[in-house]
Amino acid sequence: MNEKTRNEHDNGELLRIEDLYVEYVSGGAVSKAVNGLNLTLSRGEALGLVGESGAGKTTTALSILQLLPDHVGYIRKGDILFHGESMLKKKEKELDEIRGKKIGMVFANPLTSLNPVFTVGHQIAMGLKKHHKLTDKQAEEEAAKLLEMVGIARYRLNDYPHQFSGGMRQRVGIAAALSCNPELLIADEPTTALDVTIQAQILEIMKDLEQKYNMALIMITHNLGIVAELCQKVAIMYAGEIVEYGTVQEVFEHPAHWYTYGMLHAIPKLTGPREPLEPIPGTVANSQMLPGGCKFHTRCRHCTVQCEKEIPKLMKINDDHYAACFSGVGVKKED
Amino acid sequence: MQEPLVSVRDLKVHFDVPGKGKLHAVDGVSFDIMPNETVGLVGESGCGKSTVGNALIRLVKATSGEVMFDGKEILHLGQKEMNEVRKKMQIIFQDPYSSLNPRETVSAILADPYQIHKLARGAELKAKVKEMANSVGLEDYILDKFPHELDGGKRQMTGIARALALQPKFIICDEPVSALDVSVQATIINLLIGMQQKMGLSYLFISHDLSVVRHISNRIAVMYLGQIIEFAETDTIFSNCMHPYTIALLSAVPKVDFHDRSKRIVLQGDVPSPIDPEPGCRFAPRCPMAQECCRKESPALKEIAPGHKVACHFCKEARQRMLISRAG
Repeated sequence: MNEKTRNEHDNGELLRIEDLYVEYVSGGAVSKAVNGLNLTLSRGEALGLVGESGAGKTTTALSILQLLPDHVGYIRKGDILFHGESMLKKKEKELDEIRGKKIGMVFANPLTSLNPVFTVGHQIAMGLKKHHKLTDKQAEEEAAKLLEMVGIARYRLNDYPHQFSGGMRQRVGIAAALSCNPELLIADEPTTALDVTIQAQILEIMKDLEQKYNMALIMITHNLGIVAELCQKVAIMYAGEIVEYGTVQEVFEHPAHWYTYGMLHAIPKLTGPREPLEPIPGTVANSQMLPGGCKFHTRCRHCTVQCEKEIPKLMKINDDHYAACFSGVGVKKED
Repeated sequence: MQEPLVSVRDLKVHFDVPGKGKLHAVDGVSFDIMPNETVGLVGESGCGKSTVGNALIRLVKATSGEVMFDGKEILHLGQKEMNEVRKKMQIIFQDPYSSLNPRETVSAILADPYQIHKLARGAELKAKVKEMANSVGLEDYILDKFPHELDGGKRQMTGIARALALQPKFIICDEPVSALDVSVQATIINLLIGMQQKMGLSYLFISHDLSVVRHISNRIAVMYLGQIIEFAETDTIFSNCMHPYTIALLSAVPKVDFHDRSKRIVLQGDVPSPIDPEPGCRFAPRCPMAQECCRKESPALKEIAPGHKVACHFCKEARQRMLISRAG
């Protein structure tokens, strides 16, 4: 570990993604899923990663865990540092020690991420036996406690995933991801498949855990409301780049990128007067044929010549707010 | 006083589940839709909201009840008469990927309604298809494309154009924007509102997304396990709803508003099975204020203020008590 990384490590930095480029190849066509992404996450910090489908949110998550599909997806450039150490240089055996133990992951669809032929108790206990070297009996007891923590009675330990409802399966997925007290939890749309009242149950559990265990969280979602309730920081993604980053309130109340502004104005509100919606023209950029310059410029009403030619970098607006936009939303930028 | 365009009385749809009993998907639903009005139908998955829509247009068979459309009872019409009714009554589905024939081009899809009802052919048909496509914002070059070549928004526009082709009076919109990204969703919502104003349409807007329903609806019906438990003007539902389920549902939606940090009411447990439901209020097992009588007697949907109907024995106290428990 060199001097620089050690210092940042001491500052409470848990994860750093540096200039990450990820591509997928299929049938000779190259999809540029992530294009120069930079991101830092401190210990205990909850970050919302927001964007529409195809923005590269899930790809970013899979890259962190080195779970990109073999032969199809690969990291072309950049680095991912966890505790200051590169995840890219680690051997499979070392990664096994991190996955599930230090970094937990909750997937969008609990029916496909749980194994149908094992009981939920077995699946929650798996990580405990592997990483904490518990005996079968101890692991079972721990698994029962985890189930209770997410609001499922312990007698259901020996039931199979198909015997649970969607919301309960997702809670099982969360219990399994949390079994080894990870320092970082990556949750990929954990409530998208669930009903509102069940979603509320899951969000309460996650909020609780965040506070209890000082766990860092990357919450991948397209739901801005969830970010507002659960996260301190938010990163808005578009076409594989972070276009805006900052504290949630600052970004949502004073958006400085036209894409963020557009998204906030395209969503119907739950309170206040019902105003006409302003759609964002066009459709999400095609990752196989990305436009030059700012990737959003083809849909932006405020596009300038500069936007068509130059890729904007994240620029500082204030300590809590960065945006990659040349013609920001009427916000005076400092240099 | 205007006559309602659609009038549903005590609609029931029950399905046989072999070996398990009867699934009460829709269990005694009544409501009216006025001309040029949008009624939102909200509820969680499995509450029967889509089945209501499908039963209205007779894609599923109603077990009992009455549906009046434009002054005519339609549940018992013969095939021929029902085809006539379907010119005036159309449906838009959630998934534009599966509701468009993958082997037809957009122009063929849009020509279908005219051909089925023998309303146009040849050059006239071509002109009508083009006019319809343009009116929803589909450019001419899209007409020669197949559904798989289009993005979700354009596909849903095709579904809307098809539904509008025969100048209907009433459209059932079954989660029409749920599968779309937010930036595209706004385009489709604006299109639906625009078309309503232009053509004087009525909508039954089925959705689980409360903010979308609030945006588009004049009145809202809230469903729980096959029954309507509250029905009122949109603003009443959002500012003064009375049923404990509606109160909890609204509080559960994550909000972007930083000034409203009121606490969520978290309901315990899951929605119970609709197969041979227990007597009494369907919501009682999850209701924070359920009493003995709630488990015995099912509350009727009663008008408690002009235009505001609630099905709860304790609706007068619900709001106050739920909000106190929230503060405490």
